[in-house]
Amino acid sequence: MKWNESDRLAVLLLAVLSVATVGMVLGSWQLVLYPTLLTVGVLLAFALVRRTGGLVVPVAVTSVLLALFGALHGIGLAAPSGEGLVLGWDPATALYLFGVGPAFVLVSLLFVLYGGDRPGRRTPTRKEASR
Amino acid sequence: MTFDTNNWVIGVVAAYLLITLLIGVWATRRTRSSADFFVAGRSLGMFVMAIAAFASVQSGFGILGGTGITFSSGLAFVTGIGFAAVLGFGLAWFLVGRRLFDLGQQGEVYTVGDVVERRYGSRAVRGAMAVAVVLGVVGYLGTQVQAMGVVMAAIFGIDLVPGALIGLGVLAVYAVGGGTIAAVYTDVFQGLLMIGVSIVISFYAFDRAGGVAEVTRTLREESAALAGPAGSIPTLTLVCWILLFAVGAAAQPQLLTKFLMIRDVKQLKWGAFIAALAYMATMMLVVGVGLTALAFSLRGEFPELGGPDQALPAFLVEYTTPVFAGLVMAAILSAIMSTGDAFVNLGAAALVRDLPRAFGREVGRELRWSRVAVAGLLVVSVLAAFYFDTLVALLGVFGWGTFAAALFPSVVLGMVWQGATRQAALVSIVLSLAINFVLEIGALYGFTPLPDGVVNGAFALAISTVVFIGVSLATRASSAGEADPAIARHVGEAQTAER
Repeated sequence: MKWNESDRLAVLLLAVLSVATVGMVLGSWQLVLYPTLLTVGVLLAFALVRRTGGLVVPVAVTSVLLALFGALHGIGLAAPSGEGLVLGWDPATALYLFGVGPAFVLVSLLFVLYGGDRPGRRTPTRKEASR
Repeated sequence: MTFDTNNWVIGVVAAYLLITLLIGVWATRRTRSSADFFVAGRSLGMFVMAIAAFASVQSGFGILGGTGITFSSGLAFVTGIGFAAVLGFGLAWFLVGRRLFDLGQQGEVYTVGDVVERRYGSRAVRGAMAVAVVLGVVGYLGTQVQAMGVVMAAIFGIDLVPGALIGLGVLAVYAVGGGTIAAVYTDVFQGLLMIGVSIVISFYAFDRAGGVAEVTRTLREESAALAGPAGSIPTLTLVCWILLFAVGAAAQPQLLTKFLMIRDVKQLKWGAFIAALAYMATMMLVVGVGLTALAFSLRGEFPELGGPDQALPAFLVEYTTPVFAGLVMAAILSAIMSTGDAFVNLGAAALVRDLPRAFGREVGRELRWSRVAVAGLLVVSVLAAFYFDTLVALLGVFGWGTFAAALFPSVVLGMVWQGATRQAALVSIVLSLAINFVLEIGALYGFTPLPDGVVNGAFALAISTVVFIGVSLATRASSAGEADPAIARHVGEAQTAER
């Protein structure tokens, strides 16, 4: 059987969730967190793969989430420094509340912008059209 | 800790219950068919659907339990569960919004059982799904009953059992008669109440504590971690929650079935954003009251509690006016009842529609028997909640994890991936139930094979999805063409909302 884009995404999802499972068995939060963020990207790709430029949204969202959680990792997701305040909050908490939170909401807003059906639907290739 | 002598609190809550009942009476008059009872006659507009979706996901666990966990452990509930559920709304709309709507147009598709039977062409998958839904519903409903008892007892100064019975009596009147129409429109009223009250009390709480910075300083004096995003909860638990509640939210049946209820595809467009904002607003209550109560407690200015779940009622008693306390208590009841009504309808559908059809039988007078099933489920949930409370607490956790692990692969992935097979759906549903049950029941007897901090539901979700994909890849050659061609056309091919 031939493999299409969705089949490849399924294999990618299998891979990232396998890593997350190993992370849980090993008790490593890093091995759960980063595959989880990649899972979000793969799922968005599943939804949009057949659209023109369908990978732009998944790649952009995943990049933003990886950057935010990478920064959180750096400034103390697991062990806050207890120094300084940002808008009254611990810096890591402030980044979570005002960075991660809005980014999660943004995914819903992206549905308004990119959830359209007709505009941008990818034209099938000649090979696909002939099937 | 009760409001037993305050007529203002009782008056506000009684007014809330009366309005809810009146909506139920109106809805009962509009409910004339199974389609009305299960999918609100496919009549919902964007705003109603979005608020009902948010309200059915936001439960007593989210408001009462979330504030309790924040009071005892810091912000992990909000950052791990609340925010992740917000992401889950976006994922749900992207992944299955349009596809489930399209499927709903293919005839009598009212339940997740209908969805999987059409998708996989298999009555066995439908039956397994019905079992998963009923188990999850009993657990989830049992926890709502217990939460209802706590709140009603605090308001009226009565015992837990009569407190829960009064609240469930109201729920029964409108859920039995009005089915999903009643559930949806009471959800809108209850959801708007939750949003308004949550925003106001959040600012009020921080103001009473001297501002956010003062609260943070107080928490840091106890420990630096307490003011951090994970609070005193293990970071591993936090990230497991993110996986379970972001991906798992997209697989909650009370949300999925809302996509079968909208009147046309244009109603999808702003729904995810409205639901996400609404849910985020209610998280403000959890942050504000939970952290403020914790800071007061650390300063020695908060009463001793029997348990963390009493933090929100105690804050209302100690620091707010009676009218405002009444509104907040009504909002908590809203969270409980809006989830409870969705679940009794889901359970009724699984019992009256999905299980018999899995064995090739159809129930005559489906509408009447659905009402009987709703009443029966309420009775069972009351009995379970008060006579097997440990088991019910266990099943409450089991509920969310069950839905996530059983429905995400078979329903959500199944709707976006044509390569998914019926064998994989059946194996993943059965496996998810087995893993959840073994780990949750085993934990009671000291069987905890996973490292500290791992959330059983997240583990079950990851395993069931991996197995689902693996079995699908292994069996797809033998399963080609198993789905109804009219349905297969919508799987993986459908896009999302019209612009």
